[in-house]
Amino acid sequence: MTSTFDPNSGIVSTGVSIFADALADQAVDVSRVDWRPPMEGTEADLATVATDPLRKEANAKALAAYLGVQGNVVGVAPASDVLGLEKGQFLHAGPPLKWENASGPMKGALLGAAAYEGLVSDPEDAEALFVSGENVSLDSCHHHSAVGPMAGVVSPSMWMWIIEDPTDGRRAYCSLNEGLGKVLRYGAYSPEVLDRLRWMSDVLGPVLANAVENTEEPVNATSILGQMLQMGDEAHNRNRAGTLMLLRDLAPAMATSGNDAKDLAKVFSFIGGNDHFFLNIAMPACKLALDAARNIEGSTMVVAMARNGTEFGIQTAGTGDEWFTGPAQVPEGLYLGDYGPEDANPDIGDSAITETAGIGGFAMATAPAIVRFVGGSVPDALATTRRMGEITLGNNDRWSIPVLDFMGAPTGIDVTKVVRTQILPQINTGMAGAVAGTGQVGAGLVTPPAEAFPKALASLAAKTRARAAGAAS
Amino acid sequence: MTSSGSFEHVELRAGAYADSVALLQVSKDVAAVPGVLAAQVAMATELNLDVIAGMGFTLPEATPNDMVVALRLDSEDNLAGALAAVDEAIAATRRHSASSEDIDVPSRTSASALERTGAKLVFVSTPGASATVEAADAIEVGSDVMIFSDNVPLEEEIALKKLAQSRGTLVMGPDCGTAVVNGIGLGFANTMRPGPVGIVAASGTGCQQLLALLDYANVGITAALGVGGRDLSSDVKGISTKEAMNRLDADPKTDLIVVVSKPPAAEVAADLEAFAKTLSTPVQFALLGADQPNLTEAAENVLNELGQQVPDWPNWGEEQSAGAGYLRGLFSGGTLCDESMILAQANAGPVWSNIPLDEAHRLDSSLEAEGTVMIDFGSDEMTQGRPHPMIDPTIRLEHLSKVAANPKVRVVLMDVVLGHGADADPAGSLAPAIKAAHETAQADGRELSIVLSCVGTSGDPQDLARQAEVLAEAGAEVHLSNARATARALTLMESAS
Amino acid sequence: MAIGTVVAGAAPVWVADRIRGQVHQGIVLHAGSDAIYFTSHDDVIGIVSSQATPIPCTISTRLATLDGEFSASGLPQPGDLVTIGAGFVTIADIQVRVARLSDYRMPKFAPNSIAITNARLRTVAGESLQSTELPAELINDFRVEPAESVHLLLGRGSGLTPFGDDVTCGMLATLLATGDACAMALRERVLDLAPDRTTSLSATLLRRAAEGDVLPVFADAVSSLAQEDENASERIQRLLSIGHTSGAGMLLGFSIALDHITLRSCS
Repeated sequence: MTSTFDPNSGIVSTGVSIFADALADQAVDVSRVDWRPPMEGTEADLATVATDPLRKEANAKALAAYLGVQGNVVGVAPASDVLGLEKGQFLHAGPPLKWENASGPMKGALLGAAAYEGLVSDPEDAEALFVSGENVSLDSCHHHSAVGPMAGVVSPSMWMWIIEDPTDGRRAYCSLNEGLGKVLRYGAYSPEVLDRLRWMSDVLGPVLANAVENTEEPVNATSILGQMLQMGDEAHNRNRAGTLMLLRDLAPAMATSGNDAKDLAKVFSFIGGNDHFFLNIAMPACKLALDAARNIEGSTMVVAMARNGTEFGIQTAGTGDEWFTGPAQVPEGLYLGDYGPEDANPDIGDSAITETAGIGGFAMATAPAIVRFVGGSVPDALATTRRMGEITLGNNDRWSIPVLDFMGAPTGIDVTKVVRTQILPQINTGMAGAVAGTGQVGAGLVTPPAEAFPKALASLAAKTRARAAGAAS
Repeated sequence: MTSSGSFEHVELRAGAYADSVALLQVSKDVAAVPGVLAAQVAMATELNLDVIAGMGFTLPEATPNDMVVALRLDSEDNLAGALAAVDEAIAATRRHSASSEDIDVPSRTSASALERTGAKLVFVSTPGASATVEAADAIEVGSDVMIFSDNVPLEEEIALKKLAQSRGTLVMGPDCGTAVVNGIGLGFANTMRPGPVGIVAASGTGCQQLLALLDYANVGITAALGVGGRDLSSDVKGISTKEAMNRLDADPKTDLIVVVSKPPAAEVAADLEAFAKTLSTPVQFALLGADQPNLTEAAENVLNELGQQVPDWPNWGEEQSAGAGYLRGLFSGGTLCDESMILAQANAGPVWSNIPLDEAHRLDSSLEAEGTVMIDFGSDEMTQGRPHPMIDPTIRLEHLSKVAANPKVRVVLMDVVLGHGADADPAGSLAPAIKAAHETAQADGRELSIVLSCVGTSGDPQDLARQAEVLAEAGAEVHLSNARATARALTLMESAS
Repeated sequence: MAIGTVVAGAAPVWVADRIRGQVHQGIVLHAGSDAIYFTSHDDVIGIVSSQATPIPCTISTRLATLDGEFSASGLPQPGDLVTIGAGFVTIADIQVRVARLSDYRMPKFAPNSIAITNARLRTVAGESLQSTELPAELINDFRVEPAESVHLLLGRGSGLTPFGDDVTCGMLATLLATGDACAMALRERVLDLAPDRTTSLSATLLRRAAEGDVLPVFADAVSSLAQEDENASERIQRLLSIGHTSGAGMLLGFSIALDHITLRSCS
């Protein structure tokens, strides 16, 4: 054979059309790439990373490591127990953040959490505490194997879901979901918000802990995600089926727990009335799986996307714990009541871990029920999922999408493909009010700031060059 | 083992959810595999477990989140095959079928198009700065790539070719203008019949001239693999040339390998000659340059090696008249321009050019000089921001009218390159321009001789014979061989002096 | 498909030459969604869809089906006129041109590779060589004296290309490729008999075999055997899936040829 080439499989043509036309004129099937220039100034870095001998295997390894993980719900416990948080320590969503740079909803959530922990009696009094930085400290959830939706504030008394990889015992954590509207994670800190948080740690947390402990087979979060994607959830902005399946799995143990029947009734109605309850399991399940792909030299796969309300940050498998950031964008979408774009805070929360894992906006095609909620149409949703396939390394066959002929969700964002195509990951998100204390103002679609990806690429290229220089010397 | 001598296998796959309809199909597909007596693949719901137990399987503890794979085989030897069939059938339920009528999103990278089509060849003609990345997509999946783009940084070419070498793929280019694979012309390429010659070419128009002459001699090719102008440099060390030679050597239909290139760096030449000796197919080097056979002689050497008769190379049109004056060469092919310059320099002294044989005779931007001038309109600096002259004749036609008005010019030499990718009807615009040039000269009381090489094959879409006839009718002397055309142009000048 | 549309196809050199040559007329013999066959002088030429296997007398297009593409006036009917020449095949309002020349040549065989190839053939495809269509005695005669017994094979069997013709194609192309002493005698006899003994399509393919042209799937299969290609088995399977028994017939012809070369040479 003069070539591995088989004319029947056709030729891919990338570039000017006259040569593709010339091939078609010769009775050859031509697959034309809709090529466009990459992000500005990235050509040399792209070429360096593209010809890195480690890249192919490293990306295959990263994707396989991620795809191989399953997460079981193994417990519910206070953050002080499972994360070792002490009074005055607060975790937050997104890349690391200083109080003076924090946005309204982030500040609101921290103020509320300080009051909830008893550091102050009136949340507004906590501002001085955070400004001084004495006896309080802030850190990213991601630095503690945790993720938090929206502001993502975690304080020692909050109860956390514990998701575990049964093969190696690795864990990931997330707080319990408070519901929608005026809630701490959207930056609200009114007395009703704090009362709800107290009920969650006094009643909800212990009831769930008891139920998880007494449920014979651990709830497999990965499996529920697979099922809910076939039931119209994309597991970021719609978690209805997942929530009900969780309730179904925990209900028997709850019923026989001996807990007060009124408490149980309230727990049932709280969970049943909060379609997002499962989100706080979906997120750590994604985190757990993506963490398995960390620290693989040469891999260009994104392992985290997170926002702190001020900055959007990404991390990749090949660049350790380094964050690559840019300013968080304001989502586009629909607003509650009288709120409008001027009321919305820039993008916030660790929940983009779902998109990083290939669900949420990436699985938009499977959730036609909410396309209007995020301001789109069903064809948009199908196109979005297909388009995300242009920037991912593979598909997650556990998470198959019926309407796309059971195609697995496009999974494993490749930094190089984002830079090449200028297609940014699409994230479904809620919108917090810009002013501390407001709460949720809407929901919609958002993308990361484009600049985060060339930054990550530059770091990957620098590492590639250093390796090549090392090998040559 | 069951008592009946069959083999039973039951396994649970945690978290491997698929819907029941899909799994019914999986069970059915697996049951049809030879050696499988019974198969049930299902989510471990109570109902399904009952069904499976009812089939006589012994079941471990399972939850409804587990997928049960229960197989009864005629022998344990068939287990691996049956499990592979299970995986394949499950994968098949998730495979995207092209028929579904959902939104079609265009491929934005070569990687995406390769994944969708499984194509084994990628043609890259993006700007040079982005070509490496697209080519790497092909290498990554084991497909070959032709990079037409120029201006690819040298270090990227080296990195790319080393990567390809480690994966056994062929990189044609960068700056590869011509290739023919399985009869398919890539870039600027001619329609060729199948035959015994396999070509490895570092020069696009050099390759096309060889193809045109072989075709006229009724000799076909197995393939013409381009490697790019820098492949045989001491930097790249002939990585693609060797891979291309290997491919042709492994092809039982290739009787003779011909390598067309400028003379390589000395150490590369030695290495390549040693490499050629390790092949079972004879290799002929057609090295271009001063003191080397020209392309026509190279084609004749190939024919001699094959034991084929060398034909009289054809020409069309009336013999042009001789006279005193300058020779102007207006080329679209760099290697053809080079060949003509070498012949002219040997016979008529130094040649001014934008791609000069010696720097002392580099043309300035006016493209004018006293003496012989030959211009390559296809060179990088001439094609920036405008199409290649093989595609768009405008710039050459303008220049033709300019030289026709120059009373010092007596002979004009031009190349016309046919084939895929090239101007669909070059004679259509050149013939009137030739007539106009003659008229300009006549009006001025002068004579102008116009000699053309028309490089193409009998099967080319433009129709070689028709193109040559139209050009001849317009008042040009047309040759298939550029060396012959050049020799004629020089004769017309010489006989004047 | 619009009137005046030109469809591009890949074809063997002889078909391209025929189409480039003098204008003449033929008639449609068969028209289906994957192939339209028509006469051109004594030969038969086909226009086929991308689904059809290319054979040494087809113009292979990339049309998924011919049905849709010829729908302006519907698929042609057997007996319809076809114009061939001056660069095109014209059927109703559709023009087909040859845009690419495909390789149908039988690969050459080194004489010293015959025994090994034959052994490998038995291992990979032993069962498929058990012909039920031809008596063992006839196969034996054909092996020993090809030219003298070929008249008993030509036209024997059903189909557009009778089984006996497929066997003869495989045998003839192989003997020619190996330069066997009997090859030229067999070739002459086949050329002599083909016009009267079999269908015109089959006669065309026999003439092509006499020029050394075979189906690419046949060439692939037999060269993969000769080259110890690990895909030999898969390629043989692909060959055997051609037609009802065509692929099997050609493989049997190849096998008889190898036996002929190994066991006996012409005087």
